[in-house]
Amino acid sequence: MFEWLFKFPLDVYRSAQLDYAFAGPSWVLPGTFIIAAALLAFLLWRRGTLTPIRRVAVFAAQLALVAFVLWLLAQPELVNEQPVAGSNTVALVLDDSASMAYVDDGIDRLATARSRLDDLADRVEDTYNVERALLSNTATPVDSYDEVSAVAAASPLASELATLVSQQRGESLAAVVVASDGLETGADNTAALETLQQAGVPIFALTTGRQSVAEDLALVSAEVPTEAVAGSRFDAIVTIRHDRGGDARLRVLANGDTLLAAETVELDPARSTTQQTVNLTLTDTGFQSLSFELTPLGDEQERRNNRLQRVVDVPERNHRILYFEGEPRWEYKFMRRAIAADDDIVFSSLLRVSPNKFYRQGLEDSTELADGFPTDAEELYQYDAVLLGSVEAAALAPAQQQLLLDFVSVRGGSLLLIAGPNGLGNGGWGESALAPALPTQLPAFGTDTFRRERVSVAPTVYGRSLSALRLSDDSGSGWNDLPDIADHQSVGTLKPAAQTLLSVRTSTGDEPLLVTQPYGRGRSYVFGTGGTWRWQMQLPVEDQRHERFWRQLLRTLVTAAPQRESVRAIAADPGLVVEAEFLDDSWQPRLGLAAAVSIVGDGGVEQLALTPAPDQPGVYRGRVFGRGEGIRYLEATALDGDTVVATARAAFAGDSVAIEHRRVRASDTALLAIARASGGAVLTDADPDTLLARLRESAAGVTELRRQSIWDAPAVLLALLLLKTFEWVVRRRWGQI
Amino acid sequence: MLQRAAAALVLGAAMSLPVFAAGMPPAEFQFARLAYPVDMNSQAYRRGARDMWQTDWPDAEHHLIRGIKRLTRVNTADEGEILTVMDDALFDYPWLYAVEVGYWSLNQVEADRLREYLERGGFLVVDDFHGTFEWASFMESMLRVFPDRPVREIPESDESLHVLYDLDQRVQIPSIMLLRTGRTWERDGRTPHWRGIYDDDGRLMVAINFNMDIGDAWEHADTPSYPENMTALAYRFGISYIIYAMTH
Repeated sequence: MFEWLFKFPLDVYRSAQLDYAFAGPSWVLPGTFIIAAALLAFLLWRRGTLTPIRRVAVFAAQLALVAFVLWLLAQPELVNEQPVAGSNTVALVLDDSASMAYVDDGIDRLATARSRLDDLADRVEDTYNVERALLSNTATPVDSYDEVSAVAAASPLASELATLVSQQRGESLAAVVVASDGLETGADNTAALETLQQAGVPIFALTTGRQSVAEDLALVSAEVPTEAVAGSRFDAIVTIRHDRGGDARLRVLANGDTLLAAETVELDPARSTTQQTVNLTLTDTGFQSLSFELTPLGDEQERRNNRLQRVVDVPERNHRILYFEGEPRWEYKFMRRAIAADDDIVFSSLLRVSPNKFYRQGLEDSTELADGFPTDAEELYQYDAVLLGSVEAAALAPAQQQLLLDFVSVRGGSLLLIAGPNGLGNGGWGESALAPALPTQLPAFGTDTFRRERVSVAPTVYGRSLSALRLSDDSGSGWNDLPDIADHQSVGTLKPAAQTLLSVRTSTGDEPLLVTQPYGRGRSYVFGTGGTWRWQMQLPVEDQRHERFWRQLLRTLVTAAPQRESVRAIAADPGLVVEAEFLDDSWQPRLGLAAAVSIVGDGGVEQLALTPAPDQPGVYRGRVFGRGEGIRYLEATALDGDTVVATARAAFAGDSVAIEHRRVRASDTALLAIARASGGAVLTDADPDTLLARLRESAAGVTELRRQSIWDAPAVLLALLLLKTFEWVVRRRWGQI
Repeated sequence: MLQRAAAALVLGAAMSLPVFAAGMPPAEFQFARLAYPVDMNSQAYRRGARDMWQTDWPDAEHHLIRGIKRLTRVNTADEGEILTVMDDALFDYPWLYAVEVGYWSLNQVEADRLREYLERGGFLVVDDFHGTFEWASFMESMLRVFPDRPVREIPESDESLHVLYDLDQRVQIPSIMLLRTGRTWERDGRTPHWRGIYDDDGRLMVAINFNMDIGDAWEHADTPSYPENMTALAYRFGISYIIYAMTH
């Protein structure tokens, strides 16, 4: 409509400059305007039948008409650069990746895209030189599209179009037209988009395919911890992409044959993704391969995106906990009993039984904690988690408090403060050197908030989502009929990063009971009760919820703590970045080592030298190209001279299914970014004429200045008619024709 | 609650003793004395042995509690509590003391409840019973509690005897009768035995002081003629049982 009214598309108006073809003296038109205005004023003055207001209105309408006519006499023109016919090239690029083979409602994406490009080629061949190219892993010039295959597992659109534009700029490239479903497999396109912006060659995208594919389910992600304790429960967070409601069946298999979980996931029809938390338990040690599998829908074409593979390390080493308690108490006893059967956790405790006597339990050897609470990092950092019970802060020297702070922030250990007559705020921990690490601002020292009264406990919404706080295997979380705890204590006010996991219902309302926050590399918890032992004494012997609560919570604490030597692979485009970290006994970076990593997979062994990361002391880094498929094992080694001083192992799941197959839904996100950067446009349903007009507007290639008059546009005639009609209608109503 | 109220009524009326209302203990540890029933058909009952559970009450715990407060970090209530096996509050007191258990008589319901209490983590100290007859009487009820768990001598290496003190003196702690008779034993119980019943994980859950009377030693801590060293040893045993119960 716009183009019909104004002769040219809106974009032409936007890109062009307005100029006038009038060749006469510059004073002629303004002078004519002044004379016309004076004449009109005189004539209206002589006609004394109109009221003054009406005379002014008629004068304004007639003066506008005169101004408009004079503007037309100036011969307005749009001036812009346009390619010179026969001197420029248009590249027509067909996406030839595997996703283009998808058939949408019986319509082949590839055939549709090819047809549109062929049609366009026929229309522009008189004006432009046409270059054809296929884009899959790379953009390849072709003579015809007969070479399409649609099998390539990648389509890095931005980077390959940038390469294409850079290579063909010498051939007076005026524009690029790409026909694609828009599935971009490149990870970081920043540099490519900058290249396209600098090149100034407009890229026009013809999109094909459906953005909503109801017959397809896709596993987008499955987040699992890198490490788990044998026999402990952990969460896997699975995200499913869908364009429909209903149910989906999800299975999780360990090592290909052991069923760990089978769940029905209710898909929210109002959303395009649904997240499901799956509770898993691994009993075998070593690297465990997990397969997450969605049962395909009956009419599902692409089933490769229904499966994801992950690896979880279940190490054979023991995790270690230090529990420092200031007085004999039932919580201490029953916590020890709850964790006693856990062979994977060494639970060492230091209990002050008399004013000057400590009792040690659960020791690895007789020297452990022989001198009391650790005074140096080497000793304290052996533990993965530290528990502080009903003990005042003053029981530790300021240096020991600082050491505990470093234990969380530097070592990455977990810290749990447990309520008690001398615990939390009562013990002055809120004013101690440890205070910054705590998730709450504890009540001030001297304010006794410890109460021996029964209160009920319930998980918060967030806490309910964590497997560590699930106390039963059935659909309930196991909290509803738990007996009250024996006591409670205020945990104070939450800090900004704190999350409440459990709350307690007291006589004054709900209060946080278990609160956590990350601090540095580690995490701290504050638990406002020392009375969970009542669960154990009030429930039948067969009821294991008290034991389960403490086992799961303590396992969560220890598995979160990192190890001194570690190696990991991070997906980076292209390939992988491998990072190994080596720290000494005090958790300080080990510098000057010669580090290397072996990557073992189905394809053999790949050796990679690692170099010190300048931004992270103690970290050694290297890059491999290609992510490989299946499970791959990393073994990092650090040498000081000829001596191996540290090793670390890890495993990760490579891309068993390429990204190209994971996404079947057409998307214009990447194409819009490319079009914006290059000065082009996404033309989903544009007709060939519009596309041709857009091509002609391109200022790239060999161009000439083109002037296009607009005085003869239909809108001009309409405007003239409207102005006169308006005046006529008004005067007729006044009876003053 | 009805059972507890009935027990309170019967016991209170019979013995003019206060039986406290249930609630959370006012401190982490409260000395809890077990008010057990005596078989009404027994010879002992007919002889008047109806309230043997209150022997040494309240001085025994009164003295011991002061000792616990002085010698340990245990947060301890100033006064003791009295509980029956069927008391609703029983499971809020994970440490129990029973005296003169040669006279107790637990029916199967009570025995089942005491077994449940012990298996959940409760701890029982029994004391002040002597000789063959009282042992047999004690075991008659204890076998109802644990038909299959053996009673064993507590070895010197057992952690319960080293948790705070090294209790390697196996000395018979006498009752106050010593002052009149000059004998440290009663009936035919000449040899003291520190016996125990253990759970499946090797933890002591019933400490059996047989042929001795540590309750009397607590009670007579302020009796000038009672041997001070016996009171001191009895304190150590009592405190060790408490610390052990709160750590194992």
